[in-house]
Amino acid sequence: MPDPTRAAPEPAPALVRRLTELARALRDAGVPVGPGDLLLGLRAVEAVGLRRPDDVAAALRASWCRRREDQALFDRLFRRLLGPAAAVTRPAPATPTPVRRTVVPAPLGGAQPPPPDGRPPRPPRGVASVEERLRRLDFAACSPAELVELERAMARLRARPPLRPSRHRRPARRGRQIDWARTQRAALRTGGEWLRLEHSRPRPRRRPLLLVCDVSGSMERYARLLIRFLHAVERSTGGTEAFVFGTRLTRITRQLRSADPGVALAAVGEAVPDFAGGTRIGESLHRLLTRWGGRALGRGPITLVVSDGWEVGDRAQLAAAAARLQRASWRLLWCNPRMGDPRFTPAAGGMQAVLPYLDALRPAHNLESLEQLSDLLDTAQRRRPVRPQRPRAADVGALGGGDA
Amino acid sequence: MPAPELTPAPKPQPEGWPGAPPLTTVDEVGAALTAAAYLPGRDLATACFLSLRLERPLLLEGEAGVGKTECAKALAACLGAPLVRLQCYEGIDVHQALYEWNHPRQLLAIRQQEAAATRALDVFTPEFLIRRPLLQALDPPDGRRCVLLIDELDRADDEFEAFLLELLSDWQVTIPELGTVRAAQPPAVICTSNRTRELHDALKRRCLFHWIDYPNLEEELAIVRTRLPTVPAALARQVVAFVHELRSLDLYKVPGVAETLDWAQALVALGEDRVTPETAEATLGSLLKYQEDLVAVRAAGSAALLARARADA
Repeated sequence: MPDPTRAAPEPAPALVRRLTELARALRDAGVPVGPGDLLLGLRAVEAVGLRRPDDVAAALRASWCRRREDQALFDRLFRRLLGPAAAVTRPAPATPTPVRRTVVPAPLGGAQPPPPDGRPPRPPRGVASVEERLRRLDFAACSPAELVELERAMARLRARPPLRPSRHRRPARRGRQIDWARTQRAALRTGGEWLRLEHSRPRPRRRPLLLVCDVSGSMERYARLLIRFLHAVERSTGGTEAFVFGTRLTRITRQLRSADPGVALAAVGEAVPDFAGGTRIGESLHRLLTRWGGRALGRGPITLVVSDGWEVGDRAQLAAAAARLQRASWRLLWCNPRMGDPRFTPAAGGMQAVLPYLDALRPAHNLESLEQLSDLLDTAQRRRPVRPQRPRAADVGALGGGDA
Repeated sequence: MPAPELTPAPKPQPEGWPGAPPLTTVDEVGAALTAAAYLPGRDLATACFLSLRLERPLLLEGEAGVGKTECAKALAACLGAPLVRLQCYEGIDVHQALYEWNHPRQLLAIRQQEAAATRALDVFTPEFLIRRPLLQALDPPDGRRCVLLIDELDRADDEFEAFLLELLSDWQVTIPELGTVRAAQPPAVICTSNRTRELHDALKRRCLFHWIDYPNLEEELAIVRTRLPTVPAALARQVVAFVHELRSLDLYKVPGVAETLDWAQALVALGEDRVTPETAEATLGSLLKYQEDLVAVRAAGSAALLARARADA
């Protein structure tokens, strides 16, 4: 690699200072520009020369912005700090205030759990332990103290990542393919005679998970705990893509990456503009398919949609989106918190529309149902799901209890 | 173990790119790419220029069909250098990307040597090595410096990305049985990604980055005219305007520049000299690859889209 320190003539100190300022401004705004990048940027600017500002901008953009999302920010800062308006004689412009994540209570779901006040939770009654009672308790019927308990229990929830076979191979004693390199090496130990053939087998890899959660008004009482659930799944499996929607779709994959559930929840609350608003499921799923299709659906994910299906938008669009989502997913699972109600029938207009395209419909109203759900995710389900070529009304009824 | 040279004697190599015009400014790189029938934006020309000058890999991202792979081909053409292409896929590993020992040949050589009862035979020598694209690029058989295209890197696994790190920053790889192979002159490297997943930061940090956007109407028209000189000017304008109308629709997959070129070629093959709603309907399959999108466009009405396109053009 060419030595970055080799840059022949010393660059002008003014240029160095201003590039450093720009780099610092970018860093403050969350774009990682390290000292190595700074050197690279200097060399890049020297290479293109200072004649044309757009060349300088392009050179720095190519050196410093490794994500498309950062480019608009870069252009803005570049104009501000190095554009024609920023004269050299001007005092150093103030760097923008750093973006700091503050942990504020998120507007997630109605009842906020109060700060622990030292009082122990309600003592157990009868034979069922607190744990047992909590597990069956509908989220919508929880007291604030019980919510705190539930969130704590949720943190212990683990989902094993579902697996899929891959084109990677691992050594094996038996298998369909012979591993020539290992066979040869084994032969060296036996005087060059091939006494044993070594084999290889496909190595299972993690199947991606796509989590989509409804946070509209009708889901308000469930949203906070469900996002905790998404967080618990993300923490234990890794590599998930997560979205929430009300009237519009928001990607919360990055927000959920934080190890601390409180921080993650706060970040989600900050990122989502439409908590507890209306619902446009069809439009949101359509957006997921068009805008994020390549990223989120690239490798046959297990897709989990959590929603009560109370659609106010276009049902035909919802059905079309669900059909497409099913085809792009290895499994399309739908969880409905309303299924906790024994009188539940999938009558809400949205549910009717999507039912023909679900591989399974599950409840998600209490801890127990979520535990069962995380078990469902990791039952490896190696075979391709059998799906009706054209769903008939008769198939719809069988889906609720479908494959597990 | 002393590391024998892979190539018998390192040939003295000329500096830079023999056979290429001087590429000392952004303008010259832009002009050379244009001469190779690839029309880069100013930004892309700058990125290519820097990649050559600073000997850094260039990571190109963008929607499918905006010309990421073509850029590498054009760069190879204008440098007069061979293009070595590594198509990534899931599960690609060192054996498919870098080198593999030719085990059947080794075995035969051992048997032969046994029959002849001559002295011991070393089967881990370059003649038993199968050189895969990365090794070819680092240590070209004919000594010609090349352009290395690592295509659709997002399809490979993150382990493979980690393996590329040493190669892309130090231009060397280690073959345990032979030793370290170092490039006398690093190849020009273009990596492309469709963003089906985010590449690792460590890899991105070693690269220059450029996002290729869809070209605007005039740029795309120029691309069609350059790539397909046989297409009549009026038809080309109509085609490009229609595609731009399609890009404004809410489709699962909007057509890229590659599809524009396909479509223009299809129309020429049909002997059309202008786009009518009927021909558009009949050939939409060159532009749109999803049934839902075809339905959506038919619902919007090709005639209406054409009329709008005519107004824009």
